[in-house]
Amino acid sequence: MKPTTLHLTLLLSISLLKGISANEKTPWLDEKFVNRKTDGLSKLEGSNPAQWRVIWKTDPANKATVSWTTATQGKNHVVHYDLMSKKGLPKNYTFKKVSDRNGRFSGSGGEHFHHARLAELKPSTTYWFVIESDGNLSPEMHFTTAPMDDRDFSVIFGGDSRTGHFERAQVNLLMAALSEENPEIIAFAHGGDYIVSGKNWGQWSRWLSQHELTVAASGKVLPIIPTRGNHDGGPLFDEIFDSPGGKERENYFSTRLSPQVALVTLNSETKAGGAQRTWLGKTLESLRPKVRWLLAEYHRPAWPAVKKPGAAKEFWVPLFEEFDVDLVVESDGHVIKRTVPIRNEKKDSTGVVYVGEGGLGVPQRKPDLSRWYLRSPGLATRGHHVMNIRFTPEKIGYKVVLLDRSIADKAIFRPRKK
Amino acid sequence: MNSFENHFSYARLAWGLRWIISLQCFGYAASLAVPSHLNSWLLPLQGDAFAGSVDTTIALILWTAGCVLPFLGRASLPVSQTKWSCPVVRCDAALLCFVAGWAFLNAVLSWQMNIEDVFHATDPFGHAVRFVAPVVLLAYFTGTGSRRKLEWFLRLAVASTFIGHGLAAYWLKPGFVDLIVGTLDTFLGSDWRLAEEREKMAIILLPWIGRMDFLLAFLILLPTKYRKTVALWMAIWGFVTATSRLTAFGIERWPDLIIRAANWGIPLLLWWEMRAKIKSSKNL
Repeated sequence: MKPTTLHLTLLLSISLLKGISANEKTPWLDEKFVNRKTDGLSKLEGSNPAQWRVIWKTDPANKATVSWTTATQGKNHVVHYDLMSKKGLPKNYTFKKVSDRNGRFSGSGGEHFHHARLAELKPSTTYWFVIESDGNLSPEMHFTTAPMDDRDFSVIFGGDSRTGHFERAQVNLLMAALSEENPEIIAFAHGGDYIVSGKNWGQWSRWLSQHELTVAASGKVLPIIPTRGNHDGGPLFDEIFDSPGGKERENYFSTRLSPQVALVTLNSETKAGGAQRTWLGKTLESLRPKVRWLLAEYHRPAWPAVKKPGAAKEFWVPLFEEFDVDLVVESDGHVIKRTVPIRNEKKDSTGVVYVGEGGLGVPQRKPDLSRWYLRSPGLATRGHHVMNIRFTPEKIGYKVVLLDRSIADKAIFRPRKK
Repeated sequence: MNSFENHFSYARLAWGLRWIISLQCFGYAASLAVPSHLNSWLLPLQGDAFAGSVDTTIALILWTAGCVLPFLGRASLPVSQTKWSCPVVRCDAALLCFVAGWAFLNAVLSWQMNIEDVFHATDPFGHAVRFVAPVVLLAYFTGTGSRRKLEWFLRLAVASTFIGHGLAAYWLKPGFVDLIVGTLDTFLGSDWRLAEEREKMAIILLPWIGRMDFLLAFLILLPTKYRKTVALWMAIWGFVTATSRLTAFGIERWPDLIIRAANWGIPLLLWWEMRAKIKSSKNL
């Protein structure tokens, strides 16, 4: 049959419609859109609140830290919050919390951080808040606390956003879209290497501003669970994330995401074999009988797809295997990877699976596919990505979402037999 | 010292340097199986394909250098016989320049790519002996400077390496704590419940190790009668600390041992030289 004008018109219309719909779903693939969004970020001027973020540490069902930056010191820094939207009018909010910790960012030109630690929050509850610094207000935003029941929920994981600022903005916009579309997504765990040089305030400032892009159009904020990477040395990490892990520990802590899900965040950039290992052993020993899903996250991989293994392999892997950790998230390599289940340095169906390895903007590397633990059913490839991990009583659903929303990898993990 | 003894001593030192540098080349080449600091620097600028091909090219040159350097024995000839018109000599010199350049660049980039980490700031000092050794060998067979001066440079480089490592130990470098804890695990058995205690032990030990390194660095530069013993001590300690990469993290870290061949090899060579000199003077 010869193509007629009608056929061609139909074909053209379908192609156009497909193009429009693809563009609607992935507007961040358009450079102009990204630039427009980036231009619209809040300005760091005077005591105008900017660079807002919500931080989760140990008890996200009941606590959260709302943090922000002002260009000058300012005097009064408050978070107003409530259980429903109050359209950003401070006097209408039932609760308010004066900032607990304020200070000048190390090496900055006078910019200050502010951390308001909200406590006694209700689990699985959406809190609407507005930040006020000396009468200047942020837009109204909201976040949802972690559940205290066994409901389904998802967390986005990803690492390595230190270079590739445009791609970083794109991934942030992807996260915002995923978070907006899916109310089950409640947090974002960053695997470290936010910036190139941890002591460079300018780089952090840019990262913080771009982090605003993860806030959905509705104002939904994804609380961040921060991990320290090898490029994040220096005091700014603690100033930005309010010292996760507390002063007594070096940024390692466990987050109870629900009564059945725990995430242990480790610091691969400090002593791995001593106090941190003892703490990890005690933590896993205490959590394993209580939770269905036990996860660990740190920056430098034990089972890398590109580089050589970090100290985690020697000191932490035996503990992951002893306490049957369900999934370990790593970063640093700038690839997408999922290992085969590993136990005693061998493929073993009862072993631990390691996923990663960083794609929040950094240029991607070519993975070394000859490594035994990356062979099928393992996987290694490349691409800017986030990992969406969904927890249900029956399974962990793991999928790697690329910038164009295509799925680079997916897997299901079942609860371990007791 | 007569001319035969002088020639013999000259050849011995050059031969020792060649083997040490050759070992070091294998270490550097093997470590390029994973991205180098240069690769990390190039990645955002030029992309993975270019950065990867640079690593591969450098690894190939280093493997070649490791294989051929011990056999490019022109340097064992007296200086007067070194013929620059000979392609072998040129090739030898080019490879030594490359090895020295790579070791130096690696030390600087290790510091610069981890600029926020104070411990990496010691790398250009800590790696000094690795890039000075090829330069000294090159200077030997080009006849640049007296042997006395060149030995002095080697001592200075060894001292710098010990000062660099001493500083990192004194400041309790986390990696060094893990080396001690991992080694204790290997010899005493791994037990996560004891790990915290072992870390405390390492934290007590490290400042003393740092002080010892400073003392050794100081003594190797002084014209004392104990210098021979100091050199031997440095060689043994350098070997122990290089081997700790394996005792803490397993045999797969073998490149970390031989990349540090100069750390213990050069003090050993200096000790050998001093011993030979003493023997020779006794014979006279």
